[in-house]
This record gives sequence, structure tokens and C-alpha cells, in this order.
Amino acid sequence: MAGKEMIKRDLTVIDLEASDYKEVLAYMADIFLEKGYVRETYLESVLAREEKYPTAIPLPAESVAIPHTMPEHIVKEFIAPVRLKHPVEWGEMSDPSSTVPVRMVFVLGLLGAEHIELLQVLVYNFQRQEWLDRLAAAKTEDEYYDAVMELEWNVT
Amino acid sequence: MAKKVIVACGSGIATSEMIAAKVSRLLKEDGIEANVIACDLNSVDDYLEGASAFVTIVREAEEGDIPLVDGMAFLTGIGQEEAYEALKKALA
Repeated sequence: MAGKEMIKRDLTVIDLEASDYKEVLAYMADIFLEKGYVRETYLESVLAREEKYPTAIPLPAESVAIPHTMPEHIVKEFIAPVRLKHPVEWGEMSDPSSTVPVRMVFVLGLLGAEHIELLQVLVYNFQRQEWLDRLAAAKTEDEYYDAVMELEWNVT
Repeated sequence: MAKKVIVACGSGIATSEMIAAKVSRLLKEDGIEANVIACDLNSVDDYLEGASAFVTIVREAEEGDIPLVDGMAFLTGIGQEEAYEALKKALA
């Protein structure tokens, strides 16, 4: 289960109020910067990347966004589990001109390709309704973080 | 010489690496030799020369005559069989 510690409790946010993806990223970037996870160039680069190559993965039950940018803007690796208070339209990875409503966002701070297995596990879990339901039902950040950490370790 | 497969997404880490890992494993399991390279869409043109297949997440069609394969299918597993068949055909 290599890399699970990358999912950070101190970066877990639920009921984030935002009217668009830019507000979500700006809000989280503040936290990342304050806690020393990213450089000051992070917000600009993650917004630019998202604008050009959006990161919502369209899935039948629920789409999930995995915003990330190039490693040079990252200081410490992280995965930040975020749940939005209201769904926000997010550009689709495979079709940038199209958007899908997104509630669950996993902001990825990656330095390299070592944690690929963890990412594959995450994508697998994005398609497990029981896991998504637990995430949706969590009432506190602790509950949300615990629910996320209960992901099934299955690399397909 | 092994055929070259390019896998590209918007930032060269994360998704393209995930898909490259999966594609490499599938090909290896089938005994098909190929050089699978993950890169980002900004620099993909440098890698495309001589490639036998272009596995891309983003459906922007601007590859020329290199066969395009649906990368998203490998990421989510949805439609993966068809995408894999298309890849094998491109490498045949």
C-alpha cells in the first residue's frame, strides 16, 4: 500500500464553497502554500494547466477531478481530498470543450512517477459506489479522511 | 527494433504515466514488444516521429497518420478492450 501516507489529513477539506473550479484551486493553493507544500508559482501554473488540459475524469456514476501541475511547483508531495459543498462544472480530461458536474476533487501534488500505483488505486475507487457514498455521507473532515483512507487497494 | 508507443496527457506525470504502466503490462502479458513512452501534450511532437501508435487522453485529433488510441479507456477501464484491440492492431 505504498504511498497512502501521501493522502494528507491536514489538506482534507469538506463543504468547500465555490462557484467555479478556479475558486476551488485558489482556496486550496492558499492552504498548500501556507503549509509549505507548494511554491508561489503553483496557483498560476495549476490554473493554466487546468484551463488548457482540464482534469475531470468522466465516469458513469460520478465524475471526479484530479487537478495537478508540473513537479517544479511542488515542494512536498501530497494528495488533498476535497469535497465541494455544491457540484461545480469541471472540464473533461478527454474533451476539454465539455464539462461535467464535480463534487469530489483530489488535488495531486506529484514530484515524479513513483506513486502511480496509488493513483491507479484512486481511479479504481472512483468507480466504487459504496466508497463514493461513504465520502458523500461524511460529516466532518476526520470522517471524510477516514473514508478516503478506506479505499480498496486494487491495481487493475 | 521494438515499436514505439507514445502516451500523452496534459502534464506528463499522473495520467500518462498511469496509462503507460497499464499499457506496458498488457503488452508484456501478451508477449508484444513495444517501447511505451509517457510524455505531455506540449512536447509530444518531439516524440511522435517513428511512433506506431499514439495513446492520447485528450481527443484533439491532430496526429497525422499515426493511429490514435483512446487513452481515457485505459485510465478508467471503460472501453479498455476496444482500445487495447486498436492498439494491438496498430502495432501489428
